[in-house]
Amino acid sequence: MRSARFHAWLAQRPLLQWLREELVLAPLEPILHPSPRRLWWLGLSFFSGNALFAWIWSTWLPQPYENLPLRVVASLLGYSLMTKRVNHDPGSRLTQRVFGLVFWLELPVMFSWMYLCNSGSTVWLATLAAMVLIYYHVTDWRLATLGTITGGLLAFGMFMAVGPAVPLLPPEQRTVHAVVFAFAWSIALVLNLSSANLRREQLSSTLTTIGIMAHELRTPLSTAALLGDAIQLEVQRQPDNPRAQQLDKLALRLHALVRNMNHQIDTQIANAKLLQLPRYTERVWASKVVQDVVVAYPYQSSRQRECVKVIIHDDFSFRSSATQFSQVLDNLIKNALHSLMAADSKYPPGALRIEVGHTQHRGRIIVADEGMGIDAALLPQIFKPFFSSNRGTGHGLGLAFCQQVVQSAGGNIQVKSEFAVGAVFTIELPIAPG
Amino acid sequence: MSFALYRRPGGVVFLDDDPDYLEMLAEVMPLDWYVRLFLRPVACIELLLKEPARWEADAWRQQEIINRWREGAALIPQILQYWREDGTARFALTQVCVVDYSMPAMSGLRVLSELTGWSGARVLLTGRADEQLAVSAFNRGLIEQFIPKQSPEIRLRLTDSVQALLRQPDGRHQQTWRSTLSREQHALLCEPTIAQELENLALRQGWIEHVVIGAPFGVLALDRKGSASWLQLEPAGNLRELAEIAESQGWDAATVQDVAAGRKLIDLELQLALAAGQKPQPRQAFTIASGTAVLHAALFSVGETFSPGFMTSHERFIATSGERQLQD
Repeated sequence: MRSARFHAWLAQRPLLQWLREELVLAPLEPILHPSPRRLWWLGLSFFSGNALFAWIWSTWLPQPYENLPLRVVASLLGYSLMTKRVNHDPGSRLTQRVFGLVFWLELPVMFSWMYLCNSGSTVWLATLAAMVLIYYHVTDWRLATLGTITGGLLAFGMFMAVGPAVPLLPPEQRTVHAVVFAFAWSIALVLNLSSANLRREQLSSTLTTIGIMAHELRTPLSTAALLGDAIQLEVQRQPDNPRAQQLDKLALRLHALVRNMNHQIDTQIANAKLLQLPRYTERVWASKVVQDVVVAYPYQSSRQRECVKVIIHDDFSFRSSATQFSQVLDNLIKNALHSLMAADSKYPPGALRIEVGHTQHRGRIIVADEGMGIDAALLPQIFKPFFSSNRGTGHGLGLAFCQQVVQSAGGNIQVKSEFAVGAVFTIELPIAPG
Repeated sequence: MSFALYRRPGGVVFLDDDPDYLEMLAEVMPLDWYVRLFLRPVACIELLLKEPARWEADAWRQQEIINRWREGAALIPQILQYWREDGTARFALTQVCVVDYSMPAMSGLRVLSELTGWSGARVLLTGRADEQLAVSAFNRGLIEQFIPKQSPEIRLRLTDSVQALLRQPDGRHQQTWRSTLSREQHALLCEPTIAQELENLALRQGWIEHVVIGAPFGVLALDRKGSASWLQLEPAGNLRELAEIAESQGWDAATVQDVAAGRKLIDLELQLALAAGQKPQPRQAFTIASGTAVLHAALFSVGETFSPGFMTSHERFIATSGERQLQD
């Protein structure tokens, strides 16, 4: 009730609503455009850039203050991003934390420190301005803003406490510096905000496109279903027709086709709603939702249907939305069947296995297939929106949707895969108490 | 549930902007429905808005029967005459209108809102996006039903819903014919078991139109071929009186005894009302019971001279209404 009133109140304040969407609701992206390669190159530029500028500012174009030990530490920090352990999985917590820390220390903290220690020289003012632009380019604007402020404050505190005894920036120049820096900062902020918007635009326009398509298709599909009915009715009117059985079979095929297409449209619409997923806290029983989805899935053949094996070790319940979670399983089953088809599988029983069980505190649903598997190089990215392993047929929202739903239920989803052997998706969920 | 006091078949109108869809609907909707298909909202609205005046005239015609009955004219011959004179005009009146929500010219709800004065049932066909709208329209009482186009088994859902709405009696007719019934008679018809039994009987007999009257108590019904029949209803308390009349009219003792025991009924009142000089006949009776309330019933056919006959039957009406074509 209170939340309904809050939303009504908010609806009348577009600015606040916009702020809430940008600040609170938009998903946090600690690393923009993550990929192992990009992380490696960013690491290299810190690693070599620090060495290069240590030489430039001390030997070639000497500046009042330069600090070799600091440059060495900064170089090594950059190197950490080049290690496999850090950059192989940009989606992992570890990588996100290391990345955030390195960039915070290297950019706002170190650059502010150098600026202060050089008494705010024009060289360092320009560098500081460039730093802000870079910082906003690599991380979420909310993190960049927080990092710039805290980094600046930390550098200032250290400068006052242990910094070299150099004069501060002359008072008459402070306003000029503030204006230049504010200009760079605001440009960085605007650019980042608009590109964040762009990504979300892409999602919402995908949703619109699918919505229009679904809308345009619903009547033709419904017509096709009626066509199937018309054939069946005709057969009933002439039961003695020698081709009656064949016609009836064709009508059934037509019906199955229509059901399948409607199912596809529903799934795609659910996927594209990625950013507008309402949160639910109904109690969902794992074995029930798994069994319901497996029964209702529109398989292409009975062979496909029979290859799915459900194994319930222990049932458990969790808090989520049954509808959304069904879509998650739908997506995973669809991917698995697709992968089996790509591997030219004969669909032996158990080629697609779904297991339900739990450890002490967490429930676990495993969807394992013996299909194509996923290329190791692609693994880190498959949960990203608009990443699709086959560009031609998918828009890359299915797994992003899965991750979003699972995470909003307090769980996580992981994948292990070996090329040409298969893929195992593991969903872990907190068990609902009581 | 109570047994409808007056029920008759009527037309179904479909409005959609997709000609293919309409043509397929024409193929699969039950053959005994009077179906009209519209592509253009304006044409559909125009047709339906011509109907209230005809409804009104027809309802008044029924009311006049009641008025004359109050002045002493018998009901049964009047009703039969009304059916004969009307021909098939009443079957053409639309009872259900099924409209697609999303059409380029105007939305389905807009179309329905223009149908002021038209009192039939309204069904909205929806897609995924407009389901919320349909729910709110339903809650506000603007539509009787909404059916998502993508629902599996769309044909069954549609035929079941429309069939149920077609079977729903018109409120005004109910009121008109209620006035011929005594309170006890009406209470009997409201007994769920009795109502259900009568409903089953109507289905078995293939009645497509019927009217329940109180004097004499029974159901006057038409089948799709236009033959009329009379279901005589006698509450258990009436049997003695009926037996006495039979005795006074010279029936043998065995028949009088059968009547008194509810094994047979005699169509004394029907023949009296028809005044055709035919001798009343005893008929095998059956009982319709619900707890303590017991009704004895027997079915009599009304002679061909009085029945509306095949030429004005519903079957012939459907057969001569032509192919189901899109109206433009």
